[in-house]
Parts: sequence; structure tokens; C-alpha cells
Amino acid sequence: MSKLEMVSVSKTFGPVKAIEDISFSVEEREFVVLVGPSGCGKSTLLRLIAGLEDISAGDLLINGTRFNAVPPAQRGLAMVFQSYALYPHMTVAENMSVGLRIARVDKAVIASKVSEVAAILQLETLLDRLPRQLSGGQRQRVAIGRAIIRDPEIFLFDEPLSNLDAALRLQMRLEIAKLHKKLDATIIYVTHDQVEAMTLADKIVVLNEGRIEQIGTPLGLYTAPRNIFVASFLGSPKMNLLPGRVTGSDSGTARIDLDIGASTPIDVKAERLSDGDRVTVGIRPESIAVGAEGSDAFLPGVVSVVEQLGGQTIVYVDIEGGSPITVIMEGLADITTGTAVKLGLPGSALHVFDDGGEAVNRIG
Amino acid sequence: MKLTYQRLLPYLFLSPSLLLLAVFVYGPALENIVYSLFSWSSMNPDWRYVGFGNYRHLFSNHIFWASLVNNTLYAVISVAVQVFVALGIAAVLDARVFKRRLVYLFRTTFFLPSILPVTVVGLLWQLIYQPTLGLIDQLLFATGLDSLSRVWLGEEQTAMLAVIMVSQWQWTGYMVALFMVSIAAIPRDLYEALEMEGASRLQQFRYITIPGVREATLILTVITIFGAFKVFDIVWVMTAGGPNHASEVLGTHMYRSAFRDDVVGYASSVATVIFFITICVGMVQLKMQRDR
Repeated sequence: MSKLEMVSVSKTFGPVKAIEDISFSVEEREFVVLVGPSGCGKSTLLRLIAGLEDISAGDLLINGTRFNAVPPAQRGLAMVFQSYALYPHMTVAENMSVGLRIARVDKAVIASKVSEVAAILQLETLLDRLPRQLSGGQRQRVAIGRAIIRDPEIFLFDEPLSNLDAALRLQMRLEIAKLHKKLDATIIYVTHDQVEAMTLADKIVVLNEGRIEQIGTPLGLYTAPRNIFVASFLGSPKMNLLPGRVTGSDSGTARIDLDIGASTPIDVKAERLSDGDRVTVGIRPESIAVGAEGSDAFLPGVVSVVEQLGGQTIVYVDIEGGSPITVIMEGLADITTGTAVKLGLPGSALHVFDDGGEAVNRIG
Repeated sequence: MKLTYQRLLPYLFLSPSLLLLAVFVYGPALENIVYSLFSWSSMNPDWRYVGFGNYRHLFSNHIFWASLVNNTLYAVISVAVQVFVALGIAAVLDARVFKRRLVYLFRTTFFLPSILPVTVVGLLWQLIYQPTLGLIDQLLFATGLDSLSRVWLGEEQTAMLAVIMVSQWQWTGYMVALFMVSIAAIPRDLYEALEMEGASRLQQFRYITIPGVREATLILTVITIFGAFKVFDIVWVMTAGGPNHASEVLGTHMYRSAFRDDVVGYASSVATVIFFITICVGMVQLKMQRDR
């Protein structure tokens, strides 16, 4: 039995459908990340789980029991809000313990729980401070502490790192990952940042316009995206997408001519493709080789921008008749703007999407 | 040279308003203190220095003390109703108990009296309070409570309270609107976070709304107390301080002394007392704000 299950859940606000027929499950101790662009419904979905919004249709099951009408406080969930939602007039200790005080838990028990959680989050020296006296990262930890102290069945995180600067975001991301292991917690985490999703999740649910695009492990989604949306949403820099046309297909292989000139045979389940079909070919920036030796297809181009990041070099190559192609090269590549290059596209790294944007399955 | 210019420039911009304040507010206030040390009247060119004589007279005058008690009663009831009841009403209207349209209707209905001129309000309520024919007595008769019927503005026991209630009717809605603005500024997710902790509506009010509107409450309390000690118009229109000084307040006492009894020096001493009471309230407010 799953820890939490959403079964055909929909949510409408008046005439607007925010969530449409969504089903997924969360297992015990699983870290599930709901990811998608702004306005895709991920926060609404979290609020439906939390009970802060009513479910219009479908079922929310927790440990197999229907929880649609159960008040938020009785769902055994704790939520960390994007804004942290710390009570400005309460100290750190009071912020963390407010739920226990409302539940009239014994003062000694509250004190011991506060110090226990403060130790986990290194907040011991800050317990008497007010939120306005804390840094962004410290506030974030207090908000997490307030969730931990309730010992919930499931943690809900609503874009918890979006208000932090880049360095702090990285640090807190690591802390949340450690915390997940330390507490053996079940976590549902909302973010629009695909890096957070890829690094934290056991399972990613990709959402777009109120619908699920794909569910899977981070690497599963990265290597086998179901459609163009997932393919281009996950990965930074984005996957290169090249329009083309099927020019020859037999039982196992389709030959695809790219609009920008190259031609390549690709092993796909060709029964869905016939000659003349429009397709989009996708290739990740790190899969492209500069220098065409041994590749199934190659494209000539001119380097327009070079970004040296130290560990890797991002190269933007202008292709005649097409959009620029992004290439990632390992280390500090010795390449300059204006250099003429040949980009090799290994057939094994290509993704093919049909006219509707759906992936065409590879063979093998 | 440039530095001096830059330093003086702000004062240049401030000077028109400072000049107006000096001529029309601070000057007269100080002048009034000087006036209060003389015995004089508008009909007599002779001014006689009496030192604190006016104040000795004032503090031994039972009408002054009755007025002060009435002002204090005015302040206490006004703070209770216009601040605390108004906060409660604002919180209920904000708590999504009622549909949004109904909230707008209530808010507008409560607010409307505050835009009416005091004279209109006074006359309106004189009609409502009218013995036998007035709305209140008619309601009492209709519900069989004839024995509770009073000459509301004509009896010493009820006159002051009747006037104070009119003031509450007129201004509570205004305060509700101000509190609603203040409550609306509290982030919604604080309430949601506490709701997830299992807090009832009342606990949310206690833990979030009250601390969230503390500044507004403090300022509105002070403004209400100021208003209660400066009140003149509504009392003058409705009862003129009567019957038998039962609804006399410092404002009407001062006005009567100056413009009816022509003891202007004495009236100035009443004005000085009002001035110092409001200064004290203002200082308490400043201290409380600094302490935060």
C-alpha cells in the first residue's frame, strides 16, 4: 500500500481547470518532487494534499484511507512554505513549538523536543531570536524545524529554496537531502528548478498546464523523456531540438533528414513512422561531439559564443538555416568565437519525437 | 558653499509648512497658555494678571471635573467599541465567513455614517432619540418594553451615554475599514501555516491577527483618545452639554466659558488642560512605539 495516493484528482477554480485528472503515488520514505514551469499547478496540487484547498474531483488516499474531507491539521502532514511563514512576533523556539502549544502538550516535553530539533538543524544558539534577526538560510531552517517537531507522516515543501541566493540554495539543498536520509522521511517537494528536482528526488512528477507529463526517476526522465516538453524541461542547458523528416523506414530503422542538411539513420520502432512524416530530433548538449569523426551525422557550423565555466565549456554554434546549437565540452576547451566546427551527432544519443511531440520508442 | 546649500535646501522646502504650523498651531497654543494666566474678556480692554488663579478656579469647579469624567467615559467607551469591537468585526469580515459580496455590503454600510456631517448625524439621532415618537421608543413600545422608555437626551442619567453611542455608530465602521486594510496586509500563509498546526479561528486571531495589527491598534487607540478629549461638535449639536451639565465635556465647557460667559482667561485654562492631556497621550504612544 502506498503512503499517499492521488487518484484522478481534479481542481477547478470557477471556470478555470487548475488540475486535471492527476494520479500518482508516494511510497514510504520516498522523496517525490513535483516539478514544472510557473502556473503548471504544482503548488495547487500540494495545497490539495495539505487540505488548504478542496479537491473538486477524485480521491486523496493516505495509508489507504480517503482523506478528501479531513481538516488540514488532522492529515498528519507538515508543510514548509515558500515564504517560510514564520510568525514575526514569536521567537525561534516559539515558532517551532506553536503547534505543540496549541495541542496543549506538556511544557517539559515541548522544551525537550525544541532542543532536540534545534540540535538537528543547528539552531541551538538562535532559539531566543525573532525571525527578523535571522538570515534567509536560518529562517528556512526554522521553518523546517517547525515541520520536523510535529513528527509528521509526510513532509510537504513548497518551493522552499526559491527565496535564497545561489550559494545558500546549494547548501540548503544538501541539508534537505541529508535530512531526508537522517529522518527517514516521506517528502513531497514542489519546485520549478529542474536541478533541485534532479538532485533531490527519488521520483519526479513533471507537470504542465495542470496535467502530468511524465513520472519517473531523475535519470529515467533524463535519458528517456516521453515528450518534447519533458525533454526540454529537464537538463541545463536545454536539449537541442532539430526539425526533420522521415525519408526511409523499414522494420527497425528510420532514416531522418534534418531540415538543416544532415541525414542520419536511427534505430526506432518505425511502425509509428512512415516516409514523409515530420519529426523533431533531440540531442543533449553533452552528447554532441565537436569534430565529426565516427558520428552518424554531422553538421558544419561556426562558434558564436563560448562560455568557460571551468569544469566545462558551453559552446553555442550557429548552423546555417537553423537555430544555434548548444554543446557542452568537458574542461577548459581550446575553442574561440568564429571557429568553423563540425558537430557530430551520434545516432545512439538522438531522441525522436513525432509530429505531436511524443517520443518514438528506441529499439533496445 | 555647495555643502551649505545642500544642507539648507531641505529646510527651504519645509519652511512654508513650518511657517503655517508656527503661525496657526504652535504660536496660538503657546499664546493660549499666556492668555490663561490673565483674567480678561472680549468686551473689556483691561487684562489682569492672575497667575494660576484661573487654574485654581478651574480645579475647584465641579463642572470641570464632571466634564473631565465625561471625556474619560467617552474615551473608554470609544476605545472599547471603535478599537476593540471594530477589530473583532474586521476580523470576522476578513475570515471568509460571509460571501465576498456580503462583506462589501457590510463594510460599506458600516462605513457610510462616517461620511455624514456631524450636524446631520446629530439631527438624525435627535429624531431617533425623540421621546414617544422616536425610533427607539417606538421599538420599545412595539416589543412591550415600555418601562425602559426614557427622554434619552433630556435625562441626566442617559444624556451623555446617548451622545457617546451616536459617536460609536458614526465612527466604528470607519475603524473597521482601517482594520480591514491592516489585516489584509498580514500574509495569508501565516494563517494557513497555523491552520495546519491545528489552530482554531480564535487561536489564529490571537496568534496572528492581534500581533499583526498591533501597530495599527496602538495608533488608532491614540487617535480615538485624542478625539474623545477634543470632542465638541456632536455634543454641542445634540445636548449642548445639558441637561444640567450632565453631558458637559471639556470642549463644550471651554466654548461656553469663552463665548457665552465671556471669561476668556478661564476658557484658555480649560484649553491648556486639553492640550496637556493630549500631549501626555501622545507621549505614551511615542514611548510604546519606541519600546517595540
